[in-house]
Amino acid sequence: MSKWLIAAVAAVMVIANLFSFSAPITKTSQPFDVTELLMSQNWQESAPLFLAENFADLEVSNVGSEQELGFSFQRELVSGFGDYQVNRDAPLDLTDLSAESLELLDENTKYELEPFCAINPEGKYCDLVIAWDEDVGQTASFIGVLIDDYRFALIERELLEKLS
Amino acid sequence: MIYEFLMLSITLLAGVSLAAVTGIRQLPLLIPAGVLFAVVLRTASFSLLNLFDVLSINITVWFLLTLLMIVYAVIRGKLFIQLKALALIVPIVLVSVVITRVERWSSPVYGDPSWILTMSEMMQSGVDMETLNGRVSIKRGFAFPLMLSLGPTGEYLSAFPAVLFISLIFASYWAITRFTSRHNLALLLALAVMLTTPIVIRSSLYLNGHVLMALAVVIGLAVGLEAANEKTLSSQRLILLMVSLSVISTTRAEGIAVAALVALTVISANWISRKQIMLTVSSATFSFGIWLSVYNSYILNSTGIYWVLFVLILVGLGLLVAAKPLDPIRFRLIPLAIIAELVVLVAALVIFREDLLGGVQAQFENLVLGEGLWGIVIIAMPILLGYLYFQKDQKRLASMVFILMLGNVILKMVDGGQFGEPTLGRVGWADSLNRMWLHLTGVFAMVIAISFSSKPKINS
Repeated sequence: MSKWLIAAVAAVMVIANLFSFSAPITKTSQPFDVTELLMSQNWQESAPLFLAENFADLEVSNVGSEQELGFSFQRELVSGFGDYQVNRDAPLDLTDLSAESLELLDENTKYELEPFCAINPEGKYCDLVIAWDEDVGQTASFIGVLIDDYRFALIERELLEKLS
Repeated sequence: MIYEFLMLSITLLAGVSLAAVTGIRQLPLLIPAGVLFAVVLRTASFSLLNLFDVLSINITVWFLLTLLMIVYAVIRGKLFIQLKALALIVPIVLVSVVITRVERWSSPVYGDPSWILTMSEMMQSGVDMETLNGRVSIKRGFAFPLMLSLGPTGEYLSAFPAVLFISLIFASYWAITRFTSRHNLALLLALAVMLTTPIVIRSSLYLNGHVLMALAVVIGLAVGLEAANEKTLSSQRLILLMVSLSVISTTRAEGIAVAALVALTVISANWISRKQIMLTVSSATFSFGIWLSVYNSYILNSTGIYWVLFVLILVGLGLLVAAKPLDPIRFRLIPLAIIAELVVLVAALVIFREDLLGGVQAQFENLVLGEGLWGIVIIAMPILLGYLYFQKDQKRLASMVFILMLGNVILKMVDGGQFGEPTLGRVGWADSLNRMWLHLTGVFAMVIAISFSSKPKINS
C-alpha cells in the first residue's frame, strides 16, 4: 500500500474510533480496602461481607433460593469472609407488617442492596435491607423475610420480635 | 503507595530475571515476558503451598521467592540485563502506581471485578481454596486474582492492571517488529488505532483478566508464528511459548480452549519434534489441571477422581496430539479448525436461532453501532484479515487470527449454554463476548500494523 493510502485508512479508523469515545476511565475516591470498596458500592452480593464485617459471631437463616423464593447469598462469600452458619429455608412472609413496624424497620436499617432474585417480573434483582437493633452485641442471628412483593429484609432476631 | 511500588518492582524484576535466564535479551520482550514468568511463578508457588495447606504464609513466601529468583539470575551472570530492565521497570511501576494510588484513576468496579476482588482477598488471607469450588469462582479465573492479592493487607494490588497494560504495549511493539520491516510507521498506525479504541483504554485499569490474556495471547501467537516461519522452535522460544500457554489456561475459564487454538500455530507443523509438541500441550493442560485441583472445582468433583489422577488423565489426553498415527490430521489442524468452527457456528445459529437472535442483534449494536466501545476495530478486522490472507506471506497469520475470533464467539455460546440454552450476550461494553475481544488487543495491533506494512518479514 502507498504511504498516503495507509495514512488515510488509519486516519479513517482513528476518526471512526473517536466517534464512540466516552470516558473510558474516571477519577474516583473509592477505597483500596476490598471489603470497604465493595460495601461502598452496594455490590449486589455484598450482604455476607457486610454482616461478617459487623459481627464476630453470626447465624443467618431463611435466605431462600435466588432461583425460587429468596435472594442471592453466596456460599463462597460466607465461607471466605466469616464462615458462619446459613440456613437456606424460604424467607418468612411478613408482607402484612403495620406502618409502625415498617417505620421501625426503616429506622434500624443499616444497609441496602439489590441482590439477584427470581420473583421480580421486571428484572433479575430485588431490594434487600439489613437491619438490627442498636442493642445487639457482637453475636447476632439474622432471619430472612419477605416484606413486600419484591422486597426482602435480613432482620436481627431481637428487632424482628419487636416488629411482629 | 510505597508498598505497591516495591512489591510490583520486585515481582517484575523476579519475572524479568527468570526470562533473562532463559536467554531473552531484547528489552521490549523482556518486560512483558517477565510479567508472564512472574505470573507462572506465583500460580506455581501458591498451588504448591496449597498442597501443604500453608496458604497463610503465601505472601511471605512470594517475597522470599522473588528475592531468590533475582539472586539466582545474578549468579547466572544476568546482572547487566537485570539493571537495564530495572531502568525500565522503575518508571513503568512508578507511573502505574501514581495513576491508580495517587491520581486514583479507575475503571468501573461492579459485577466480575467485584467477584475477582473478593477472591483476591481470600487468596491473600489464605482461606481454604475449596471455598472457590463453584461455577462463579471458576469463571473469574485464577492467575489474575492471585496477582491482585499481592496488595497491602486487606487491599488489592491496584497498579497491577496498569503494569499489565504497559507490558501489552511493549509486547505488541515486539510482535510487530518481528513481522514488519517498516516498524515505525506500522507501529505508529497500529498504536493510533488501538489507543483511540475506548474499550482498550478502559481495559487498562479494568479489574479482570482480559489484559493478562491479551499479553499471553500476543506473545504466544507471535512466538508460534515466528517459529512456523523459521521452521524451528528454539529452547528459549519453546519456554516462552509454554509460559504463555500456562498463563492463558489459568487466567480465564475458557483459557484452556484459547491455549489450544494458539498452540495450533506450532503443533500443526511437520518440522516440530514430538517432545516439543508434548511440552507445548502439557504446559496448558497441566496448568489447567492444577488450577482445578487447587479450587477443588466442581468440574473435578463431578468426575469423582482423585486430583492427581485427574491431572494425569488431562495431561495424558493432551499428549495424544503427538501420536504418530494422528500426524495426517495434525498437519491439517489449521484448515480443519476453521472448517469445524464454521460448521459449529452455522449449526448453532440454525438450531438455536430463536435463542441466539437477541444475542446476534446485541452484537450488531455492540460492534457496529458502537455500544461495545470498539470503534471500528472489529468491523475492520475481517476486511484486513481478508486482505492479509491473499498476501502470499500472511496466510498463516490471517488464518490464526480468524480461528481465534471464531473461537471467541463459540466459547461465548458454550459458556452461555452451560447454564441453559446458548447465548451470544447483551448490549453494552460489559457484555462477556464484547470483553473477550480484548484478549486479541495485541493481535489486532499486529494485524493492523502488518496490513499497513508493505515490507513484511515473513517468508513462509
